[in-house]
Amino acid sequence: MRLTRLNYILTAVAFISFFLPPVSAEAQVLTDIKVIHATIGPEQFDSRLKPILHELKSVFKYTSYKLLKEQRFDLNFNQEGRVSLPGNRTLLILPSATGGNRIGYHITIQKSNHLIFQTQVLLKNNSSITIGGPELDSGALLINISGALK
Amino acid sequence: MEKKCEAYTSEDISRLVDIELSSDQCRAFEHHLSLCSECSRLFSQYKDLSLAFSRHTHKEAMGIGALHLEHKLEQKIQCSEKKTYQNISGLFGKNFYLKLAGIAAVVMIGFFPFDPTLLGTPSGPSAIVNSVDTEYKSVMIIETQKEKHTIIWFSEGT
Repeated sequence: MRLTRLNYILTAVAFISFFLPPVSAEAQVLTDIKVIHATIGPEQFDSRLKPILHELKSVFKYTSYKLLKEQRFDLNFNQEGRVSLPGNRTLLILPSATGGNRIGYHITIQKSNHLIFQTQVLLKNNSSITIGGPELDSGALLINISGALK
Repeated sequence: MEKKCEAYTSEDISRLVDIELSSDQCRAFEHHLSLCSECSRLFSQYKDLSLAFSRHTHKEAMGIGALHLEHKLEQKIQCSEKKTYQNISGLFGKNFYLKLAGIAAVVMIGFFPFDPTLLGTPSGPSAIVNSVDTEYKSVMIIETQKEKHTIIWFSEGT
């Protein structure tokens, strides 16, 4: 009988914890960068791009999405992550703050050590943003950045 | 074989037995009965039948008894009270801990903000763009229709 009651309580605790939001005072942010080469050509894509592929296809004319590189960082706030991109470009990413289930990122793209693009975004936890536009081999370079509080 | 009376029908005799005729009709009929053996015989039969029927129904009605009725009524009331008690004990008795856990879960959910992404429906854009700075002229911020995925597109052409 006691065991049954304990089971009920444990079930309730598990149920409640499922709905609890993540604790906002987390120290690290898991940041995943995917560098994608989008072109018009024979249709192909990497299975790791499946979660965002439909979204990209709904906006862009490109038929082929090739994953060039994937890099993961466990970044502290105000700690910079650096990813080298094709065409002598570099991506710098820095989680700046968190609040309201969003992570603040400062994102910079440099070309030949010259700043060509920078943005400040509030990324939803466990979600992603895509930055695109730089030309690459008769296609375009897309950078998908996803962030999750740890 | 007896001769059939032409003055009154069997239906008239039945109405006499049931006292459905007027007093004048009754008197005339009673006078006729004293003269007509056939009608008199039928009247006696119908009367006996009516008497037997009324006796039987009276007996059945008396057979139920007030005590029996009272007992049945008490049983019904007790049964209804028992059902009510079972409903209450169902809430606070046998499954008390399960129900308490359920109530606690509902209360806790009410206290904490619910994350709508758990249901698979995005509540807003995947990213809110606070600022964009580029040396290029063309910048677009796009939000996809289905997943509200945010895309920043910039063209390197000056």
